[in-house]
Amino acid sequence: MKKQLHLGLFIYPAGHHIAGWRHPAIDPRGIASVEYYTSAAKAAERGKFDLFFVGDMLAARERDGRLIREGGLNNIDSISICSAISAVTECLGLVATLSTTYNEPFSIAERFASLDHLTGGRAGWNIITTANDDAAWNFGAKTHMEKALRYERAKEFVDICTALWDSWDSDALVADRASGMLVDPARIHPIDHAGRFFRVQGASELPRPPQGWPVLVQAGGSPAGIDFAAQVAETIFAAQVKLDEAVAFRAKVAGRMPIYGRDPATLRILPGLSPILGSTEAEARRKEAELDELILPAVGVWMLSEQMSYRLYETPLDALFPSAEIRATGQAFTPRAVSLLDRADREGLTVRACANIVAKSRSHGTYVGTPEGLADHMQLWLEAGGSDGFNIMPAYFPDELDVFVDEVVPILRRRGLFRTAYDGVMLRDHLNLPRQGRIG
Amino acid sequence: MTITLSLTPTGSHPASWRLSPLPPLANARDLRDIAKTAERIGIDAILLGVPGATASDLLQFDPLPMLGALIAATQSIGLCASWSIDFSEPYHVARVFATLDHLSHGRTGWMPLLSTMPRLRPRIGRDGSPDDPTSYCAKAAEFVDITRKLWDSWQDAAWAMDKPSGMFVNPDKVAPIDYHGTYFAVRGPLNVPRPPQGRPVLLMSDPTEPTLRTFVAETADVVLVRDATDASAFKVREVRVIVDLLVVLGETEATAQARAEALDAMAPSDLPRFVGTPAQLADRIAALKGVCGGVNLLPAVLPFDLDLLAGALPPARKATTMREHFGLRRPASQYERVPA
Repeated sequence: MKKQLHLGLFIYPAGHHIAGWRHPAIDPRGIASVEYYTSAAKAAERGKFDLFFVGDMLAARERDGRLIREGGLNNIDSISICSAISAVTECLGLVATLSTTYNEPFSIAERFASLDHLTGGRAGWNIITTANDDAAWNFGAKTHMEKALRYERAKEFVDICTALWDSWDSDALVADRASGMLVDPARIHPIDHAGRFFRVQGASELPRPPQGWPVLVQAGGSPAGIDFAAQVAETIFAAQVKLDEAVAFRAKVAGRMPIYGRDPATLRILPGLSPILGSTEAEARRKEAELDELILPAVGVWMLSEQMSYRLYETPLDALFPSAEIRATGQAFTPRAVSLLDRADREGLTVRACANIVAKSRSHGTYVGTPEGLADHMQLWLEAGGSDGFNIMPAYFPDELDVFVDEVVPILRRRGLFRTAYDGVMLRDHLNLPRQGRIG
Repeated sequence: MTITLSLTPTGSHPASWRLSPLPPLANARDLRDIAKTAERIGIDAILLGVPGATASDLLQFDPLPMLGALIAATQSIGLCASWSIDFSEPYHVARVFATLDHLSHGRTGWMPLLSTMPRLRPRIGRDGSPDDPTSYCAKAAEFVDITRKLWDSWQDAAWAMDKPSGMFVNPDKVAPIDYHGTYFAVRGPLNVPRPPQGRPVLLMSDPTEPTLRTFVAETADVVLVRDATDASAFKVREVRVIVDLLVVLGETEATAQARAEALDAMAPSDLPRFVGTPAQLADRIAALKGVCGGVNLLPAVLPFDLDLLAGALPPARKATTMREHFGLRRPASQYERVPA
C-alpha cells in the first residue's frame, strides 16, 4: 500500500483568513455557537479526517491594552469545543491545546483522561508553553517565563501526566457488583514526584485512558521546541511552507528521537495548509483577491508586529520590510517568523505585502488553485518526506471546508493516498501510532 | 420551584453502582441519555461534580468535558459544573465558562469548590491538612470577583461584527480589568466576548461554617443546602436556595422502603433523603414551596429513580437560559457607563 496521508481540520472562529468573517457567505454571529463547531466536525468526519484541532490563546488580541478593532476572535476554549463536538461524531480525533506554563499537571491529566474515556479514545493534547507577555499578565506574572525554563517545566509537566495515566493497571477497575469491590487498590500505583516545578503524590482518580495516553501533539519549532518534540511528540503541527525546509525539519526531529530511545517511525508531521480553491486556477485567484481586499491594513500590520515582536505601526506600508533591523534585535524568532524574514529578503517584499501574508494564513502554508493541483501538492510533500499529511486551515467556514471535503478528498482517494473508511475508533488507530505507556 | 438533578454515572446512593445496569465509569452515551430524559421530564438544570453526590469518590470525571459533551444533545436544560479554585486560575475559569455559555446559548453555571478535599491535596503539592476557612474564603472572594470582572470586560455592545466598516470588535467597549489583589493579579480583558447570560450562574454549596456562610450568602446566585431549615440563612439579595434530596422511589411506599433498606445494607448514605412514591414526592416538593426556591434531586439509582420521577414534577417552566430557569435577571456589565 502507498504511504497514506493524515488529515487534521484546524478550526478557527470564522476562518483562518483574518478577514474571513467579512466574507459575504459568512454569518459571523454564529462563530461561538455549538452549531458552528458541530457542523464543521460533521464535515470533517464525512471526509474521514484523522482529527479536529483546536488552538489556544490566553490573552486578547490587543495593542497597548486596546483591542484590535479588526482583529477577529481567537479560538475559544479548546476542551469545551472538543467535548461538545464529540456528541455528534463517532471516530473523529479531538485535539485540544493546553498550556503547561499556566496550568497544573494533576488537573490537566484528569481532564484529558476524562475526555479520552468519554470519547472512547479519541483525545489528543497539543502541548504548548505559551510565550507571550500579555498572557503572563493574566496569570500574575510580569513577563513570560524564559524559553529554556518553559520547556523544562513542560517536560516535567508531561512526565507527571503520563505517570498519572500509567498509575492504574488496565484491570484495576473491578466493578464486581456481587462482592462490592469497585477497584482493586493493589492494582493502583501512586506516584511520588518531586521536581523543580511540581510536587505530586498519589494516583489518578480515573482508570487508565482507553488509548493508554492521549496522543501527544506539539507545535514548537525552535531548537528547544525540536528537542522537546524529539522527547515527547507523537504528532507535530508544523509551520514549514517550503518542501526543502520541511524535509530538513523532519530530519532534525527524527535525528534526535533515538537519543531519547524513540523510533522516528512513530512520528507524524502535519504542517498547516490553508487552501483557497476554484474550479480553475483563475477562479481560485479571483477568490483569493476578493478575500485579500477585505483585509484592512491595520490588522495585518498588528499581526506582523506581534509575530516579529517589533513595532511596525509607524513604518510606511509601501516601504521595504525592515528585515535587517528586525534581525538586529537578536531575539529568538519562531520558525514562522524566520520563514517570513527569509522570504521577504528573497522576494524584496514591502511591509504591506508581509502584513498580507501574515493576515491570510498567519504565515502557514497556503495553496491557491484547483482541487487537482492541491492534491498534486499534497502528494508531492508526502512522497518527498516533507510531511505525513496536513492540518487543513480553511480560509473561511464552512464553504472552504466543504470544497476540500467534497472535491479534494475524492481525488486523494482515487490516487490511493487517503482512507475511504475509518479502521478504528481511536485517534491512535487513525494516526497508526502505538498505544503508549506501561502495559499492565 | 426550580428542580435540578445531580447527574452521576449510576446514581447518588453509595451502593448505586451495584444495582444500576449502567457502568460505574461514565460513558458519554449514557450521560447524554440521562440528560435528555431529564430535559424531557421538565428538570430545569443538571449539576455535574457536586461533592458528595456520587456513588464513589473515585471514578470522578472532570466535570468540564462532561458539560461540553451534553450541550449538543440538549436544547434548553441548564448545565452546571463544579470547578475547584485551588486547581486553577480565574482567567481559565472565566474563559472556559464564557466558552461553554456561548456554545450553549446561555445555559451554563459554575459551582466553585472553595477548598480541596484533604485526600487530593498531595496531588497538587500540599500536605493533607485542611485550609484555614478565613484564608480560603478571602482567596475565593478574589477569585470570584476577578472572574466576574473578566466576564464584564467586554460590554454587551463590544462584539460589533460590522462587515462594511470592518469593525469586528469595538475597542471602546472592552477594557483591561487591571486587578491587583492579595492572591491574584490579572490584567485582562478576557479574549472571549461577554457570555450570553452576562455572567454564567454561580452556584455554591452551603458551607455551614458561619464565616463562610456569610461569604456564600453575599456571593452566590444559587445556594445548595442540605437541610431546608437552613434556607433562611441565605435570604439576602436575589439568592435562590435549593435543597438536596436523595430520592428512593417505588410504585408503593413499601417497595420504596424495601429498596432503601437493600441499598443501605450494602453501604450507608448520610444524604438527606426522601423514600416513597412519586405522588408523595410531588407533595413533598409542593410543601417546600415558600421554604426554599427549589430542590436538587439526587436519584438513588439511575436510571430507575429518574424514570419514576417524571410524574412527580411540577410543570416545566419555559426557559432557555440557566438564569431564566432560576428566575434570575441578567446582570449588566459593571463597566457599562450609565448615560447621565
